[in-house]
Amino acid sequence: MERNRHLLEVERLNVKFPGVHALKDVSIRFQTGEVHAVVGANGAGKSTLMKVLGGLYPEYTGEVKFDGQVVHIMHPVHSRALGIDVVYQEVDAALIPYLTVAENVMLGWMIHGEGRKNVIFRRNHIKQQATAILHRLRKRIDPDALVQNLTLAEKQLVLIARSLVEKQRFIVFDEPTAALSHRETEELFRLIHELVQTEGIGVIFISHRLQELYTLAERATVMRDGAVVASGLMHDFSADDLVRLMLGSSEAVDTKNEVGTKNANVTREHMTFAVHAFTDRAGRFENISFEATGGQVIGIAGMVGAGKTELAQALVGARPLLSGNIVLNGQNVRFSSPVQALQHGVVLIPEERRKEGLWLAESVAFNLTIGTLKTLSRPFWQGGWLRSDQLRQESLKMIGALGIKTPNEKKPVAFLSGGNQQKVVIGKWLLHHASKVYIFDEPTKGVDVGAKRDIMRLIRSLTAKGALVIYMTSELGELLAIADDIYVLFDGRMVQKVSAHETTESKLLYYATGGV
Amino acid sequence: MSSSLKQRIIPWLSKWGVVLAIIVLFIFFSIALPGFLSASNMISILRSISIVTVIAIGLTVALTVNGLDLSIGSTATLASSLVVSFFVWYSMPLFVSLPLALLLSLSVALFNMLLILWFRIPDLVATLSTMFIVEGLAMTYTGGGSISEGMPRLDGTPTFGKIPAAFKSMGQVPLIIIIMLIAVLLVHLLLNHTRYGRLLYATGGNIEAARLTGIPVNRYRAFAYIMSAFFAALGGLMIAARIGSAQVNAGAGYLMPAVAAAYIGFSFAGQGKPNALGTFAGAVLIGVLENGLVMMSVPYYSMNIVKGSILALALASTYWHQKNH
Repeated sequence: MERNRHLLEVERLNVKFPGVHALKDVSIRFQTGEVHAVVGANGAGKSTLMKVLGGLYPEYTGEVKFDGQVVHIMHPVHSRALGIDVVYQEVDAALIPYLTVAENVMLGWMIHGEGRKNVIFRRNHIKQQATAILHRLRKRIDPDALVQNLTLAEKQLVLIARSLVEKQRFIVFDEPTAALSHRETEELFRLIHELVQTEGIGVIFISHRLQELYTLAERATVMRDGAVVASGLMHDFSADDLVRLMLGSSEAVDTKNEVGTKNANVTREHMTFAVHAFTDRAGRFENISFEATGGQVIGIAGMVGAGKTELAQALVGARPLLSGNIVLNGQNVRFSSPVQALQHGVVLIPEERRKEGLWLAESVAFNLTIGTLKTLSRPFWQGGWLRSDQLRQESLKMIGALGIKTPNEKKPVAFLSGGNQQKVVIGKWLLHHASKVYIFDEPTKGVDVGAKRDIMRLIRSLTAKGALVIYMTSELGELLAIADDIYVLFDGRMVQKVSAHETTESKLLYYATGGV
Repeated sequence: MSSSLKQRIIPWLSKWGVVLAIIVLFIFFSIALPGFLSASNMISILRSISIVTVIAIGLTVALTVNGLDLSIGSTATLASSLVVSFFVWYSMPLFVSLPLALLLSLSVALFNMLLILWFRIPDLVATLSTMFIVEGLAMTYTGGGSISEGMPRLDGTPTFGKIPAAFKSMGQVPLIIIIMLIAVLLVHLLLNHTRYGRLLYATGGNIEAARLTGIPVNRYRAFAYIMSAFFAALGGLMIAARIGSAQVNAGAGYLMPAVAAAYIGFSFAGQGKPNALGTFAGAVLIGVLENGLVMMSVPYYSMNIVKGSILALALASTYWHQKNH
């Protein structure tokens, strides 16, 4: 076991982005022959650290040392040359789908390794070498299979095999289990054990799922707000310790007073909305049920990869279901497209607003009114002519009401800040008078504090008017401030239902990370 | 050049570059060629670009939903073969043959929709295969040859039909220019002043956002392909009217100039997206250049070098601008 131990140290590592200090004086020691878990809540800096090691952030300050020698990691090629391989969550980015397993395993060898000297492509030689490596991993996977036909778990395996071919010493895994089934996760853990025990590789394992780390990691480092808050042997931390460290003691953010009181007495007739046994056709969530009435904020808590976004899309008919239905005001409805959801007043404010919610090159007015053009233009037999005055007035009204910071309604939304862009997406649905169920998917992602408060206030005013808000997020503190009932999503299943005033952030985090 | 001046001039250039290029060409040609600025030459330029413009205006609508339609050239061929055959072979009256030829040509759009919306083939290759098929269809229909008045059919059957003078006037000044101007105006109004235009741009600008906003995106994509087939067929009718017969692959030569005109138009007035007035400006630019070069005795077979270079230049300015955004 004592053969050639290698040390990878980062010392006083700092990374700054405009407005964000992503890593603050981070110092950690990693060594080969063990699994080192890095845990932390959203925005703790785990991914930034990993990207520094992977050579994606050359502008870091501080030192990275390999076996005591200071090294400069300016490019992914440098980290690979040092023997550091990063398996990102998006495995497809590192694989070539129409090549075989063997060719993908040997890809680095063909490009940077000895294989680059071969002018002739030696198919059999490549297949033999790849098979030998896969054999060493004791995995039965057809070396001739095309990578595009593999499952996610198999693709990870191909990447691990590639690391072995390239004789990497450290493998960094970024949330590798987020989209794996239970059985696949166990398989992966067995494999990681093998890598560490028999190959002597150092594994750096980034995860939100605290429970699984106890079976896997020897050592753990906890990060919060870009800094290391604790580091030590895994079994010296209890799960409660970890949750507490991840959140910090000052985490009792009381935004309740800022956003006004809950449950404003709704005099309106209550709308009812019930979701029954929603099961995703692609298996990202199963058997999700919940009920709500107008005037409520329903919180859905879940970490990255828990299936929130998929659920949100399925609720508006943008993602095919295997089974399940919605009962809206006692009426059975099933949306096969967002067009139908819209007709019933169910609207989505998507997580990836720049990709899924906005037309960046178009004006604020265009973006605000695109969902309501029917009421802002003449009917079909009059040519569908746009009523430009009304269009402008409605936009200005919404810009004023939401406090969208823009010089005028004609400015392209690309020039607005994240928070103001989010307000535009919300404003689009406020203009749509039939909207009554608002689904927010991570609405405060990339939004500054002031805009965050505005959004919370807006949600309050929606429910005060009798609308239902379904608020999905991994920012658990926000849920406590805004939600009435909270459902916790883990691994595509509803694991808990709690009332917001009977729970704490650490309890939520505990459930959301797989504790029961 | 001071940096602030540079910062102002470069965006201005990419906004009005096409217009500026047209003006510069006008000045250059009118100095170099005495007859260039005459009224008859101006009309001749407009006449020469009208068919390309009509076809390009349809392509502009397809481009708004991010759909490139390469089948427009052969759709024009099909329409011209159909309409001339209706006149010459079947002696149909004008009011039957015109709508019938247009309607039958629209089936090309149906086939495109089948490939693109149903089978989800990328638009470029889908319309490429449509282009081949329709080209073959038109040629098979005419028996691999041209159709003109008094010419017997391939099996020797004599023909007695005449091409009506009213139809031929579609290919003459002033009607040919009027049709072009109306087409440009109508599509300009459609894209900029109606709900449908907004939703076309929304579909092309961000199809995922459009879908999640509840816009029936496939309906708008279908509409766009129908519009491009319609204007291509209209262009085909104009070709037939202009030459007074149906020629083999008569529309094929219009594909590339139409694509060029539409893409050159992207940057017009800083819109950065397909638009009717820009397409018209693009067609004018190509037309002026071609006219002037012909008058300067540049051989016709070298003309494509110039047209291709203009397209490359326009694309470079559009995409270079995007890259630096």
